[in-house]
Amino acid sequence: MKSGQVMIDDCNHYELEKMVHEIHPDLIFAGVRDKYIAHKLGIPGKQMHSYDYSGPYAGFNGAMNFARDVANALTTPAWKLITAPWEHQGPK
Amino acid sequence: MLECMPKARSEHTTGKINPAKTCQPIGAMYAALGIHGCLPHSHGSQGCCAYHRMHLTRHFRDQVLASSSSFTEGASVFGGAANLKTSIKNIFDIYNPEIIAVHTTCLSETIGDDIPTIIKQSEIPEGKIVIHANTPSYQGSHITGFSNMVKGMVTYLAERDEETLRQKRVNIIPGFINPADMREIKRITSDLGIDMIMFPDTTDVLDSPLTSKYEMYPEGGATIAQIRASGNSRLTLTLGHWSSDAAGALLQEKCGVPCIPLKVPIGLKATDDLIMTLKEKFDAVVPKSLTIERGQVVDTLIDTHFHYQGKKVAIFGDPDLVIPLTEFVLTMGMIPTYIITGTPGRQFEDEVSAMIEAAGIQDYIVKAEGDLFELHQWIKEKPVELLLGTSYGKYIARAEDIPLVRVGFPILDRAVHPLMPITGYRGCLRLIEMISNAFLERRDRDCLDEDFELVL
Repeated sequence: MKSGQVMIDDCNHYELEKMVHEIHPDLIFAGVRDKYIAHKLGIPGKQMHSYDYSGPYAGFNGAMNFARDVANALTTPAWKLITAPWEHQGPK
Repeated sequence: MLECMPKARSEHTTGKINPAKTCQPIGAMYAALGIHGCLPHSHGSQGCCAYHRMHLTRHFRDQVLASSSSFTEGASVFGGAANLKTSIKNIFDIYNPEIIAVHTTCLSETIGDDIPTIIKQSEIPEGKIVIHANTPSYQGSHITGFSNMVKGMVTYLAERDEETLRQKRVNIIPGFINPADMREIKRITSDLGIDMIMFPDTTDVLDSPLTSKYEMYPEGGATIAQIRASGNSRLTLTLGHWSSDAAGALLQEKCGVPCIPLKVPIGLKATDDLIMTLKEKFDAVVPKSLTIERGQVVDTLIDTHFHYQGKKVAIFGDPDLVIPLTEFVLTMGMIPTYIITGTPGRQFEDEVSAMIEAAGIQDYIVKAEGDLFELHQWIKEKPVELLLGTSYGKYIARAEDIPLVRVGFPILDRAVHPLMPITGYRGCLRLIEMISNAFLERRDRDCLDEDFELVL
């Protein structure tokens, strides 16, 4: 493991939140119980146990499926629309 | 289904095959129903009136009352003046509306009946009103007819009779949308604490409750007094260029009420635009409830994106709905591939192209004054994965085995839709649900037994 990389076995909620705030990941692969927590923290979450009912992720075609799902999760336009226009700070 | 459809693209420059529009008087009749106590009157033969009433009734599943000048061969040769004068007399004698809104038909337009003069020569009881709009169907579409009748309301009714404009009141001209959508726009405006006059307003007219008591003129509709007073409002918002801008521009010219044209608030961005315009012009405070509703839409978009993102969609219908729908499917991460409206207007192509190209999509076709035959040929050449439009898309949907999500006018084969908004943030949720479910239903139908999932 290189410096700056973290591995936690049996990660609990406190550790997940702490990790997000310190490492600022761009994408979180987890299970269904953590997926929506990631979303609320503003980070795309993909389920790795069920592949979000997509997949398969094995093999060459699986790699294509995986790439498509990850690209969609990262680029879905809604991430840029989280703040309501009336909540934008600063001078008009 | 549609087996004779030629596979190779064949351009047709004259005529339309399976048009994505209908005729002017339908729009004029719908607009007139948005005035309280109004009986729409069709100046032409009975067939026109019967067909328009039928079409509107089938969409709304509510009563649509309208009268006809009942042209026969005589009126077709000598003109319909006598018929209209007798109609006006009889209608006020027997059905006693507050106001009659006359629209013309192809027949009376071809004869050249001078409606304003005939109205002036008619016997109109004290306190009653007759207005009119010319609605020749060889021009434009039902949206043009709607726009002409709304403009007629301003011409005949709106007045500036107070010195200073009402600082806290906005006029909203909502366009050709369902009563539930008008209700939603009214709710958002009133949540912002702003007084409003909406005209036309078909809430409580075409979504009226069943109470065991029949009202020929239901409770809803903009009153004559309200439309008159729109001339004293501080601002007009016109929702949709094709349906509403002409009336807004006339109100500005006639009464000096400034007008801001907006999109019909379908989708996140168009709803944001409506709220921000009202907030800035009226110094309104956006309540937390609207911020929460908006946040729920963003949350739902994130949670469901993988059901529809990257899918190709064809959208067809009325320009003022198709433009914001295109904007919203882009927000959803979908790829609008074929976008048509039956209503003419180059501005449609310019606006839609600008939105799609801003999203980095190059491979698309947009066309105003298009038809469903051509759309079908494009789909045969290069398929899409979803159709978004009116019931008339169901033939292509069946022939090509593509899911159809029904939005717009008319929807003749599904119920409840006039009561459920597609506007505002609530409407975003409904569109996401319908589109998402269309793809998931397809997946459940088509997948192998071993891929059939309980959780999706």
